[in-house]
Amino acid sequence: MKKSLSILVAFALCGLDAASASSPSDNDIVIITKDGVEPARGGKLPKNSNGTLFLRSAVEPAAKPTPKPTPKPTPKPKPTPALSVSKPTPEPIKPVQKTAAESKNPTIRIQKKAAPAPAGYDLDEYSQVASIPDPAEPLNRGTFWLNHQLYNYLLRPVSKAYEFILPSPARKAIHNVFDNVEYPVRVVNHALQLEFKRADLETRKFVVNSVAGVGGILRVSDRIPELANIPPADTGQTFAKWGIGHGAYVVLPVLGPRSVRDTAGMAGDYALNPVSWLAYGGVTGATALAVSGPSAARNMNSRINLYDAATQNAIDPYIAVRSGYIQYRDKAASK
Amino acid sequence: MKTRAVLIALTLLAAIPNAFATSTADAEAFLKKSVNDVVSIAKSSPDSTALADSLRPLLQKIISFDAMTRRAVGPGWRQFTSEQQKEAIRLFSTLIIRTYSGKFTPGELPEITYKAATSPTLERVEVSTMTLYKGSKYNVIYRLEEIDGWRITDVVIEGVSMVANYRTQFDAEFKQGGADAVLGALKKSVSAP
Repeated sequence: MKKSLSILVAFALCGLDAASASSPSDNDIVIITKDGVEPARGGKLPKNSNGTLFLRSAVEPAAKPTPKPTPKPTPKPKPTPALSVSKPTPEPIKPVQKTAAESKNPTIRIQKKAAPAPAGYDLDEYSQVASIPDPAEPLNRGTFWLNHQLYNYLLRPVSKAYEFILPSPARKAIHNVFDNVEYPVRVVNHALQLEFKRADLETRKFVVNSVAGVGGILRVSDRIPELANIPPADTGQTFAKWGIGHGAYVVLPVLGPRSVRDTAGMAGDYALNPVSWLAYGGVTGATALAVSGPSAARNMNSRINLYDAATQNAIDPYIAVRSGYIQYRDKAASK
Repeated sequence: MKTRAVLIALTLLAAIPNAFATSTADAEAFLKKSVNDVVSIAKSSPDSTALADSLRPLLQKIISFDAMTRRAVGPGWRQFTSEQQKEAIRLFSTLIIRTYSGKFTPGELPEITYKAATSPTLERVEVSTMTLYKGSKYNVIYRLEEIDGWRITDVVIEGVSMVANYRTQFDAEFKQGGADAVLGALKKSVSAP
């Protein structure tokens, strides 16, 4: 009874292979002793033995065929986002064959530098930078061309006249005043982005420049380290931080490049800018123009400088501006 | 024996940050010297055309135009013949030198504050700077790599990478007409006033 039970257990242990085998011969039944595995003579336990009978296949590992190394596909270089960290494509690691001497006396080798990568391994480094859908490209190119004429033949002369009439310190003072007045745009957007520390610093900067800087003419805050480099904030950037994508690329007349998201953001900036409140604040048209005129002039001035910087020496000025705009806005959203 | 192995491992681990710190410091020192050399040449140049001519020999030593051109063209680079690659590097370097020189206005010199440098890999370092120029502040990041000594491989101004910007432009040209279209566009830009 005991023997039958042992054989049954052995069958169960062997799984399907044993179960599917025909009835075991005497040589297939073994006993485990202190000297090793021995065949059970006649398929029975010796007298006075407390051992257990086993199937040979259950106690001896079957000789497994050596697995053939499967050829691995050559790793393709993954495209790396350029503004993030750019890494060289790792080369496949080859198994190192040790010599007999090395196996006996293993030594640690410190390789200071990897072997120089072959030229061309890094060609895909910038493949994912500054991409934005541009479904209305023909229309956008048309508007871009119109803006180019407008900048070159109307706004650039006006901008130069503005630079000629007003010396640099005066232009700087006008820039500072309007930048200070645009405080609500920044503080509200910092708050909407849950950057309350920045909102607090922005408020301190506004107070310091308005009081000590004589209404914002002087940018006293630049002398206070913690107020000198507060990241800018606008409504388009807030939308980006909320996870809203760019949408399509558009070129607006006069204003130039925008994404759909940033065009919507402009409405927020306009509503938050005190200069634009004048038009609705009961002041005369002349007063509103007198106040908003210098603001428009300084914006135009910086817009033309930016346009020149982006298009000079470009292969295709339209694509250069589009790529530059998207990279710039993505960076602003990451601050 | 076990203790010895642990000690060796700890020593190696301690050496890794030092290796990074050394390469970062070397790259930073190289960049500072290079920028100082550029600024001292810019001081004595009457206009941007003269500045481009004066800067060319120096920029050839501090910028890897080879890496810049290759990455600006992208995978299509493999389809350029050796001669076309040389021609593209020559034209692109002229364009880059002109673009770089064009950023300077005679008489106006930048004030540069260097921030902490980072090392994404052993051979690569990014040095971030705050550049005050004509009353405006710009965040400028220099990307450097160890290629026959340290070399600048990209300049990122306010988030806009010079190489990435050209890459988008070359892509469009390459799709239209391959290497010949890229070279044609480069020649046109270089010959433009």
